[in-house]
Amino acid sequence: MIENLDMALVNWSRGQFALVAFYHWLFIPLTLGMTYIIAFAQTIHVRTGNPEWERIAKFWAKLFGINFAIGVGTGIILGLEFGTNWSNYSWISGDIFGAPLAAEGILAFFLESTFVAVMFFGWGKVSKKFHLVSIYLVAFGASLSALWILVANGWMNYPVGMVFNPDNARHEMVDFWAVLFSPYAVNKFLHTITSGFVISSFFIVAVSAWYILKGRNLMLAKRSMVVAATFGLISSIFLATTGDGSAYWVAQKQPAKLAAMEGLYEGEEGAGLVAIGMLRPGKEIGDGQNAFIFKIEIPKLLSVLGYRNADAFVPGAEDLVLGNEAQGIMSAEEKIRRGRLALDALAGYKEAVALDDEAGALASRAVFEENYYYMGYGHLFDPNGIIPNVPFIFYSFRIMVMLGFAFIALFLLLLYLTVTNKLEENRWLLWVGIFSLPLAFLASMAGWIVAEVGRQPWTIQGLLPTMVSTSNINANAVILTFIMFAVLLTILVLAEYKIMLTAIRRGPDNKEKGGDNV
Amino acid sequence: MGKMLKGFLNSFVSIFVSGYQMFRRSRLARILLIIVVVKFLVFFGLLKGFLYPRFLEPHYESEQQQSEQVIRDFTTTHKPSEQ
Repeated sequence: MIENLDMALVNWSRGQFALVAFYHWLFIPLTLGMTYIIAFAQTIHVRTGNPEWERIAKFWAKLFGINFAIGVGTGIILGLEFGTNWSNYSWISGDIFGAPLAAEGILAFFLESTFVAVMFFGWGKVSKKFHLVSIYLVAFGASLSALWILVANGWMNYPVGMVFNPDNARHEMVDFWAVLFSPYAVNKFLHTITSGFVISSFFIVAVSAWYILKGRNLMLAKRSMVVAATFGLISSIFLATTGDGSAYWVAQKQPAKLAAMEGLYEGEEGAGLVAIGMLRPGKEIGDGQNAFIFKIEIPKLLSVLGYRNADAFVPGAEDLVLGNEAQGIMSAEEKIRRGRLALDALAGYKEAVALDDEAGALASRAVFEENYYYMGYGHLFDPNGIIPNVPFIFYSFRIMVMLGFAFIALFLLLLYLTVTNKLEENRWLLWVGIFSLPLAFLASMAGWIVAEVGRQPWTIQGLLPTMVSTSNINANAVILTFIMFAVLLTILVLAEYKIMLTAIRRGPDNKEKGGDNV
Repeated sequence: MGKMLKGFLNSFVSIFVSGYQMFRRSRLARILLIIVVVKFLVFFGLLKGFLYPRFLEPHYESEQQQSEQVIRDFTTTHKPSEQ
C-alpha cells in the first residue's frame, strides 16, 4: 500500500534526471543554433567569393566542433535513466515515447552525424555548394533531433493520440500524427529551438565582444556580431511569440502550472499579469492571506494571454484544489476519488481476468474506462499536491520573461551600434555582451524549471504521477549513479570550458599571433 | 551514373584523408578525439554494457512479468476508494 513508496528513491531519481538534463542542456543550444550562423557566413562566402566570410565560418565551425565533440552522447545518459530509474514510466508510455526517440535516432542523429564529417573535414575537399548543403543539413539534423525529443516531452505535458490498455498497463499509440502535431508539442519545439538560437547568438556575441575589447580579430568580430545580433534579434522576437503560444496552451491544458507561474491563488475574471511582484512566504491554499507582499500588475493581460479574451476567468490554485462550481471546475478531492475508483477497477479487472470471470471483468473495465481520465489523481494523498511549488515557478518564470525581453533590446542595440560603427566606443555594452551569455543560459534553465517543475506532480499530465513512475530499485543505486554522473559531466563541462577558452584566445587558425586588426 | 559514383567515392576518400591528416596535424583534434573515445567507452562500455545490465537495471524475466509488476505498483500505491 502507501508505505511501498520510497520517496528517497523518487527524489533522488528526480534529482538525477534534473542534474543530467541540466548538463546536457549546456551543450545542446550551441549545437542547435551555431550551425545556422556558420551556414549563413558560408552562404555569403559562396555567393560573394569573399574569403573573409569563409574564415569566419571556419572559426565558428571550430568552436562548434569543440562543443559537439564534448557534448555528443551526454543525452545517452538520459536514455539510460528511463530504463533504470523510470522503468514504470517507460513501460506505461513506452509505445508512445519510444516512437519519437527511435525516429530521432534513425533519422535525425544519422543525418547530423553523417554530414558533420563533411562539414568538419570537407573544407576545400568537396565542392563549395555541397559543403554548404552539408552545413545546412547538420543544422537541419540538429533541429530534427530536437523535434522528436520535444514531441515526446510535449506528449507528457498534453497526452494525446493514445489509448490505455488495461491488460498490459500500457498507453498504446493510435494516432501518430496527433502526437506529432499536437499543438503543445509544436509550440514546445519552436520555443525550445529558438531559445537555443538565442543562446548560440549570445555565444558569438560574447566571443566577438571580447575580441573587440582586446582589439583583436576585429573584422571577424564585427561581421560575426552583425550576423549573430541579426539572428539573435529575429530568434528572440520569435521566442517571445512562441512564449505567448506556450502560455496559451499551459492555460488550456495545465491550469495548475499557470496558477503557479502567476502566483494566482484566487481565480478571477479579467485577470491581470503580474509584471513584478514578491510572494508572501508561507502562503497556504485557503488561508485567506494575500499571496503578494507587493505586485505591479498589467490589467486583464493574463486572461488575454491565456484565453484570448480580456474577461475570461482564470482559475487560481484554490479553484483547482477546492473546486469552483460556478466555473465548472471539479475539486481535486473529487478527482482523487474518481482516480481511486479507476485504480481499484483496474485491479478488479485484472483479478477477474485471472479468474476467467468475464462478467466481472466487463463490469470493472466499464468503471475503469469511465474514470480513466482521473487515473493519475488516484495516487495522490493530498488535494493540495496538484499545485506545483509556487515560489520556484513564479520567480523562474519572471527571470525567463524579463531576460527574454531584455535580450530583444540588447540584440537591437548591438546590431545598431555595430552597423553604425559605434560599438567600440561603448565598451560597457561589450561587457554586457560578454555577460549576456551566462544570462541567456540562466533564462533558458529558468524556462525548463517552469516547464518541468511546473508539471509536477505529474510525469504524464493527469495520468501518471512522478512518484509512481520510478523503478523498483534501491535508492542507494540512484545515489551512486547520481554522484558518478555529477563527476563525469562536471569533468566534461570543465574540459569544454578550458578547451573552448584556449581556442577563443588563439583566435582563427591562420592568425594565431597578433590577429588581423583593421 | 558511374562518373557520379566515382565522384562520390573520391569525395568520400578525400574527406577521410582530410580527417586523418587533421588528427595527425592538430593537437586540439587529437584531444577531442580522445575525449569522444573515452566518453563513449564509459557511456557504452562501462555504463550501458557493464553496470546497467548487472547492477542497476530492474530485472524482469519477461514482458508479462514487467507488466504485472507495473500493474501491481500502479494499483497498490494508493489509498483504496471508499466505495
